[in-house]
Amino acid sequence: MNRLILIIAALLFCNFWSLQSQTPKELFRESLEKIARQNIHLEIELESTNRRGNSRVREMDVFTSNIDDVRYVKVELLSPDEVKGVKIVTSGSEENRGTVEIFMPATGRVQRLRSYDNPTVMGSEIPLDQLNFDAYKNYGFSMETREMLNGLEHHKLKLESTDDEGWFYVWISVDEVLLNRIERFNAAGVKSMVTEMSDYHVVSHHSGALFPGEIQSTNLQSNEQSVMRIRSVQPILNPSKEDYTL
Amino acid sequence: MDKLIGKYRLLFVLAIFILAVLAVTQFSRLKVNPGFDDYIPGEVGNRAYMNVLDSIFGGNEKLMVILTGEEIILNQETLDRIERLTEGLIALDGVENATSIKEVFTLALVDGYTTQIPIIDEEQIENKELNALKFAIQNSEAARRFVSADFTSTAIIVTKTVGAVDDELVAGLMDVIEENPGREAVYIGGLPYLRTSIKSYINRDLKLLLPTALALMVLMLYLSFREWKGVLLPFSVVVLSILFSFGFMAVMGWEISLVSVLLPIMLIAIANDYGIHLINLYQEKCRTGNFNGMGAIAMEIYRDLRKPILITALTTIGGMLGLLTHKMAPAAQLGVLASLGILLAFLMSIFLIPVLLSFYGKRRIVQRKVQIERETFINRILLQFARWVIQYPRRVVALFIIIAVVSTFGIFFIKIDTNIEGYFLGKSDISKSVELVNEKFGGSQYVSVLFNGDVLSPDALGKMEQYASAASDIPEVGHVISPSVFFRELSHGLYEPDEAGYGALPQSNAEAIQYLEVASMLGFQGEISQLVDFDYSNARMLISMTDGSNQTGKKVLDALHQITLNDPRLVAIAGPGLSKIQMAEMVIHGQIASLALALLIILILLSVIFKSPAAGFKGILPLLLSVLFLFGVMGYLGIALDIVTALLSSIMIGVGIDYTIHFLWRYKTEFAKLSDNSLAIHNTLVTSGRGIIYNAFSVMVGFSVLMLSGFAPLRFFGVLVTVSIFACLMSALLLIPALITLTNPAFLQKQSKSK
Repeated sequence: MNRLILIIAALLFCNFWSLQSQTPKELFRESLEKIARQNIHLEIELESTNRRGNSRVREMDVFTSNIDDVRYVKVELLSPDEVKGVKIVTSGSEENRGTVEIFMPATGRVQRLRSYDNPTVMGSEIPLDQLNFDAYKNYGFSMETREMLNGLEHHKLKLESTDDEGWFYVWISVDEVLLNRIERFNAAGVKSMVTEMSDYHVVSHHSGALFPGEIQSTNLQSNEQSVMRIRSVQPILNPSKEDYTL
Repeated sequence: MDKLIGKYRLLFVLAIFILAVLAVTQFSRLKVNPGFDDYIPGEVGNRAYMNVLDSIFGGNEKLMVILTGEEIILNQETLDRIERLTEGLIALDGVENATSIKEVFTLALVDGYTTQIPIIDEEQIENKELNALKFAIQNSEAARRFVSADFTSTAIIVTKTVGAVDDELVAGLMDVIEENPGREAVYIGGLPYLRTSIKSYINRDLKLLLPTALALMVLMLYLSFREWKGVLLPFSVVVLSILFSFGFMAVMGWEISLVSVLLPIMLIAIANDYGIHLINLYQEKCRTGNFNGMGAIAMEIYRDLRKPILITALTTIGGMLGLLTHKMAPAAQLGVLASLGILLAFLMSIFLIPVLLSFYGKRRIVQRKVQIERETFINRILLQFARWVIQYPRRVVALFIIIAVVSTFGIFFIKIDTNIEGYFLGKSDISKSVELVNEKFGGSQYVSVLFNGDVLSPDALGKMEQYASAASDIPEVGHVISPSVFFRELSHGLYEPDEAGYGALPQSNAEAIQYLEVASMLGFQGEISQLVDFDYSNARMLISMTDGSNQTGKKVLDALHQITLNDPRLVAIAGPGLSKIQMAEMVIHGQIASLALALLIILILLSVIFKSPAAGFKGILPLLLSVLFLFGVMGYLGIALDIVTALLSSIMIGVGIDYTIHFLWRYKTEFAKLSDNSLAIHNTLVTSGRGIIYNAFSVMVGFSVLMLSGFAPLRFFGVLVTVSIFACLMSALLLIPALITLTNPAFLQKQSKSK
């Protein structure tokens, strides 16, 4: 379950990226601005495969909004039956940072969780509570090269932490300026995570913003894989804090 | 043979040299396989269940990196080192997971939040409030797995990835330990480490034992013959038979295992006998005969000895072939390789030694005073033996019957042990780590109790709770890790202590799954994946055994079967440490079958050689008594029957029967000449008896090199083979003549009567 939140959060963190005007950074910003990241409702099928090749599929609704500059995410599980009705809410507000609320229909209780180890982004080991611009302002952007990916020419950018925490490579298509691939390297220089976004669709009533139809994420260290298939993306027209209350 | 010596001797020697070089070129294909698990059939029993467990839960094998010292380990310096070591271990290829006391948490509701509280409280460490910390550790089942009861040792538990290579993994572990020095001594425990150690010990043994045995053989040969060709020729035969056997092993793709260490030692101990007989006769011919050259002497010794050597070689091979009945491939392979080596040694002795002798000029043979003195001493003993068996044959037979009866009782004390932890002796690091793991950490060998079906239903979890409680009461059980315990601990983080759900199990399947969702979000995925599978259809309890012995494994397995009797969800009780029980059954089967086959082959061979079934039955009597004596000694001394010692009886039969054959053969000749039983026995003992004693002692000395081995089973083998060959020797020199005195067997006397 937290894997889903992490994937969503990984997409959302891009929202806080700096708007500085260097060329690779601008290119990256442009690719992010093409993706609908706020005030959307996603219907998702998430297939998770563990390192032993065992898979499970879950269906869920995901709501995410930006209200008063605070990011909110709500996940409601739809299947299988044992977890149907489980709702999870997290927000980026100062008072709720690092906490998650979960409603368990089996007990009828809302459980508030405080994790000792901060949840991380898609196995990238970036703590969730650092998902704001300040945490990344020290990243350096550089253009690596142009190369072919899935038959299309892409810019390959390097996002490097000045704190020796590792770096990312991102691939942005030259023609459409779409973010299609992210590779994460840890401080030891070992590739730890690969995320691929594909099958972009236009989100209706969202100023022409796009959203990937599939996001595939592979943790190379744990050898676990998640494939998120987005069945629909709807805009949330009037978001309110109450929508994110259990 | 004339042509071989006359025309083709150079070609023959060259051909053997080329074949030897070819054999050596194959050695690079030889691989060492330290364990025996690979030889257990994977379709049934523990191995089959292990495959199921691996497919569901991944790596089942654990390693332990243990930090130990004089002082308690609850200090910041040690904890920092543990953290560095754990990080280094997790980064290794082949490590699925590595956890230490620093990753042990308790759960509690704090200010309405489910909160993970690390069991190691840095503040308590800093303020030296160790009593509270000790109390917390003692009261946490999870923490007790990582810290010894006296707080002087702590373990990092490493789960090996399925398919990871032991050597590479252990080398990686060693590197991580070296890169993170500290004041605590560090030991590694667990089956992968033991297997790697066995591998290095096998290499060490081969490098130590083989040259030592060869040096001993050279010394013995030189002292016996006092001329270098007397050393060189039998030595060449032995070395060539070893080269060819290992070359054949490589060609067949067979792996070097613990029992393979026996092969060269066996060949050195047994295969040089044929050469010794030939050189002995050659020297005798040189002293007494009237020959024109070495070619003629070579021909003569070939003709004189080919038949008796053939008979002894056949009976030895017969005994070795008994090993073919072993289900454990290395044991059966040893039977093939030893038989092949002895056959080649026989062929090379009767063909190559005469051919090589023909290259030499005739030499004077030195007679030694020492030898005469030794013969006199042995003669005195043999004369005494002759007096006993002729004057008191009933007493001699009665003595052997008493020994047989006493030995039979000893058999009831024999233990079967195929535990590789027992391979190591003394105060080595490996022994120390085994001791630490078993005594302070409840063992590293875990048994899984696997359930399938609605494993998260209240009924299933309730049953697991009962089983966990009952398993904890088994004295041989160290730790019990159960989904039910996990759920109870999880509830501490979901409810206040005064609420009904606190410390309770989930009340429905859905509730259990939702609990697991919460646990997963809290970062307990590793723990969950060890206990419940991805789609919640399989669950298991993990139970550690306090040591790796077969008895402990059997007791724990039997008790767990009893505890879980008639549970429809139970799929299997299996674990890496339980393969040894399957192996023990194979060892017992192999022991009985190989013994029966070896005795049957010898019985048939003796019946054919002496043209009488009675000869077969009477001839195997000394062997039966020696087998009883051997097992009796093992029982009384507490030496376990294992994969190595189970080979002993077949080898003993193959080697030990020679003494009886030598005696009977000579007696038959003497009786044919003298037609007097007592005189024939007397003459046989003082003539052949001496040769039999030399022969037996050369075998005993050869095998005694095994006492230098790094492995307990090989050392015991060295002791036991000496004991059993001695038993065969005594049976041949006392029991057989006493029985002849009492029974006047027709198969030995009819030829002379007819004459």
